[in-house]
Amino acid sequence: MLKKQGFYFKNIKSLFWVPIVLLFILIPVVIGTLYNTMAEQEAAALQQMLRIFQQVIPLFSTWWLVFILREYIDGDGAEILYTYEGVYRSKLGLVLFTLACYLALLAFDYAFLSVLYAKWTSIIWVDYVKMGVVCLFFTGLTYLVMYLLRSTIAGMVCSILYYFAISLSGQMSNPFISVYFDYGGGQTGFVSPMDLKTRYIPVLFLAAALFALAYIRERQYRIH
Amino acid sequence: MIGAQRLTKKFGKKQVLQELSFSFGEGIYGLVGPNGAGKTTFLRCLIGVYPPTAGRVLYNGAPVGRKNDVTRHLGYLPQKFGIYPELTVWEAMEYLCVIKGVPKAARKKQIEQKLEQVNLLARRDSRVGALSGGMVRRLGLAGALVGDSPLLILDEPTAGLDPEERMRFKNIIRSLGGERTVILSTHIMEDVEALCQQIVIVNQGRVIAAGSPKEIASLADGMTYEIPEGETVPEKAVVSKITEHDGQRFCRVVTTAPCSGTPVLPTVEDGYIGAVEGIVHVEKTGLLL
Repeated sequence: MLKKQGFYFKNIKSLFWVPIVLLFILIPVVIGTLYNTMAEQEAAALQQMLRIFQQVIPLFSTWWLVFILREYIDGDGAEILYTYEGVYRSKLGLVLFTLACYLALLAFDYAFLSVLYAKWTSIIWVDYVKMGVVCLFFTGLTYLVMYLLRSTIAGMVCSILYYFAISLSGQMSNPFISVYFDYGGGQTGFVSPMDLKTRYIPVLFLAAALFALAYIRERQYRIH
Repeated sequence: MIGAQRLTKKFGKKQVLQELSFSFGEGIYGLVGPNGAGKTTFLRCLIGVYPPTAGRVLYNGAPVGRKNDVTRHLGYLPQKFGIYPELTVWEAMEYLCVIKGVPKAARKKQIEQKLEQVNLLARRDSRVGALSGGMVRRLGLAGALVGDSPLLILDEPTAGLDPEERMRFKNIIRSLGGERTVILSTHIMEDVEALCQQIVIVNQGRVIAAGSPKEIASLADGMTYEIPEGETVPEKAVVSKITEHDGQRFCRVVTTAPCSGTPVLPTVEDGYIGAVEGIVHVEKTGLLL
């Protein structure tokens, strides 16, 4: 089974490395820079870092998914791949696999944060859970839009548009339309376990609904 | 082995297949028909890619579905074939082996054999994206052959192949013996005539005739003539070909109208043209199945 997954990642060639560069180079550099420049203000530095995380991490959570499914939805291989793999089988497993890989690698960044800010460990890992839920939402949204509009790029663009619409309209802290937790504007402090229950359980249900709709849409999908 | 019973397929208001019924047993079948006749839609319904609007498809006597999945026993080359362009030819074949369920122990030998058959073994380390259109088509054929599936469906298999590769393809198909069903959907009557034991003519979503190449040719018995180019062609005649011999060019026509041309023995192409153009009333010939 892993051989097949290996082929998926091999086919996206250099695009495979984009999330890797983000998670293992850019984010650690940001963490290190803020740690050094704001050494006296641990809470503020950590909040800043987590705000940066929430800006970029969810957007890249669908990167691998979009480029792997490109061949199934937009590519010349759509018919042959659909015939052998799509008629009675869903891509849901692959969708969850790519997300799981991304979240597993993301855990290294949170582990790095835990090492630097040892007394804030529990808060950091609560934020990791929150981030996982937000990434699940974005993945579900992308999965649905890809099969709804029969376009992998539309799926990616939809997620980006959502982010910019929320961000530029200043609605990051609006609990009714935003899946984010805005550290700077409406909210203060860090995500607490209570916030997970009150704020992010509904987001989890929303993500599950998106996945369910996407799955149904995928089963209705037919090649042209 | 596989067949359709009163198969109907609509896309919105457009009806593409109209109560099409036909069964394919062992042997090599040619599926022919004009553009838009419904050949590709028919094939896709057979293998389960399209669910029928009405009617059903049977595979080995049972309705096609999740519990009777045709694709597990299928080698398929679609009209438009492509596969991960960044993989090498060998890796693409490995991938197809994995998704077709070819046992791990048999993969290396199978891949080598099939690539050798389509003359791509020397390009095993080339990226799929770097191959020419004809080579990609040959890769698709190798992918369809791998696993030695009992059902082989090839949609326009020789499109984009040069004459030498077309000959190689014909030799490959001829060598497929035994208890296998091979369905070739093609416009090239020459290939059909050379390879197929049965020819199935589809037009406007229905099978209008089916028979051996000799039987299909006989549809135009007594209706095929050669008229020197430049002479008047009868009104209700269809020109099937322009030929040249003895230094002169001739129009080969199929017609039921009186004709001053020289009667000639009909070919499969003449029978096909006659059936599709409605010149031949196939019901009368008993070849409608």
